Amino acid sequence: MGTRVPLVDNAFFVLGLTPRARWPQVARAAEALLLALQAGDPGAEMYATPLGPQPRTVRAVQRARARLRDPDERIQHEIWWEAPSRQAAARTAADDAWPQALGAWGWCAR
Amino acid sequence: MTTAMIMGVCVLVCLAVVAAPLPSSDMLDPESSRAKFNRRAEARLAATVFALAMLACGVLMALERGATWPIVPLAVLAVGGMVALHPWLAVRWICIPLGLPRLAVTMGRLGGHPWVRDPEGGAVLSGVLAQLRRPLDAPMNDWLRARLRRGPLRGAGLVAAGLLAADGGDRVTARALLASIDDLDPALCPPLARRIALEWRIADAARNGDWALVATLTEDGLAPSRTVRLMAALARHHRGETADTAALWRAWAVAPRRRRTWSLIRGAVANPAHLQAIALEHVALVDDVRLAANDGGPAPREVLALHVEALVDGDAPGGTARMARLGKAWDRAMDDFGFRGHVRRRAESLRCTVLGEKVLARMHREVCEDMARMLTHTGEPADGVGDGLTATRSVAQMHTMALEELEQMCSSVTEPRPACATVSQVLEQWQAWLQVRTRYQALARVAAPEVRKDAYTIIELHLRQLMAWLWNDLGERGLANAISAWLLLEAERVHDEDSAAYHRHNVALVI
Repeated sequence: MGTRVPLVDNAFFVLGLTPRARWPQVARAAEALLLALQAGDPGAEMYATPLGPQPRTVRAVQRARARLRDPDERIQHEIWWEAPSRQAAARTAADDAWPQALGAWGWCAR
Repeated sequence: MTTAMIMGVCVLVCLAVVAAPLPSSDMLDPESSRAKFNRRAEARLAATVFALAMLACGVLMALERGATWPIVPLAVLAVGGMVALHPWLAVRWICIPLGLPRLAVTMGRLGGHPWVRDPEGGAVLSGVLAQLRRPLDAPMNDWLRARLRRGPLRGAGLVAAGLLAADGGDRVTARALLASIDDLDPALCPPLARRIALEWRIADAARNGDWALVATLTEDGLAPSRTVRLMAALARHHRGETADTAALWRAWAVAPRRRRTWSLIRGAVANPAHLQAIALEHVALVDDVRLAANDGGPAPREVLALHVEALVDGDAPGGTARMARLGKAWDRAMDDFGFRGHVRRRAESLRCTVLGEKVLARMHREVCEDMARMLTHTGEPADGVGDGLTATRSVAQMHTMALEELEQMCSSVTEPRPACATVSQVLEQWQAWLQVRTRYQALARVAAPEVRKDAYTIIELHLRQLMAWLWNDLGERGLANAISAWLLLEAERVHDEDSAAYHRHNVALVI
């Protein structure tokens, strides 16, 4: 489900910072992440949010930097930065309670 | 001499039956699907009787003359005739168990029971059933999907498409397609196709451990198979409706493929689902003192945790209570002087261009929009959410937002449509309709009557075009009829007389 509040795209989550970070630190973190993304660093590709990990893109980092530069935007992101994590459990085939169910009808399990 | 005369009369009677199939009371319109499938079934029946009478006649005449050698060739001829008339006999017992999809499709094209209501779709479904016994084979799935385009999509074809989607790993599409079988006119849906769809849905629910759904689905089958009866017994056991393990073992003993279900029975007996504690992930509150705008005070931390929980749980049971709790928590947070003071001071220290009160107002507006969206998704009545400021604003916003979202979703069914479509395009449009309907029904459950009427007006405009395309350009009369039948029911519910009259006319057309 989509959300209007800054949770999945919270600028602090995207840049891996806390609300203590001042502007120079924000700029440095954004720059480092942009370089890492351009270099294809797998460690930079995802970031954690209260709603589960999200892909980190160059555009997301640039937007996060712009948001933290604007105090009216930054304060909204600070409020939501405090939200605790409660990720939805991802269901995969391995999580099936009974993966062989189709076998009861003679069909091959996929 | 007398025997020969009796046999001769039998043959003449059978010839008469073949030449003039029995009229059916359902054959009000000879061009209707029902009339056509009745004629097909009656012709097959007459041909079967004729073939058996010829066999009996030949055998008796041979015996009368003291010769036994013609019996074997006559029996072989009769068996060949039976297989040609009823290819399902060979498909069911040879092609499907041996996993021979191409042969199953080829033989299935000869028609006959049980696919008289959808011979083209039935042939492909036979192939898909054979394919399900083999390892995954994507080119074969493509080949089978391509065979669907030989005729309009009906019950068996839709089930075949659903099973092919499942075989390709797309279980969401498979669920949607197989559940939509119930929307089709029974004259277009072979009972066996309906049964296969139901059994796949039961297997899927069992695979997910959703025993409540298994229990519901197993009640739908009119003549449940032994495997379905076993699933029903398992569902009762897992839900704690019965502790009779002997009944469970009896159901297992009479069901086929006992080796495959052995572990399931043992698991159910040792650890029934109703005794398993539901483990929810712990919601950890951050207790560091930070310089965040909310300062980590108790009021915002609680409400933020509840907001995340509501977003994650989505349409899980208890949505109304969850929303009511969240609305109250937001009211408390917004009234909390400590929280408001922190935000105000932080806005000053950050040199925001707006006052702290405006920061809070913007946050509250976004929260209400979020809650409105969540309320729509829960699909539960909004009147239980409460009368606080946040709840009231969210409900008011929900109606506007839901209509906008519905309009947006409808755009998927009004894309430019070609006059000649592939089976994938037809299925995409059918799924788009199913999604619009699901969205509309979720809104209808929570919305006031006038909002429901507005929502109906939006979807009817789009679905009417889809229906016209299916009927006029593609000849998919069964699918168009299903959409029209549903729109008619809904038009009557919202008292849209003009729309109801239009769809009543459409539903009455011959399919």
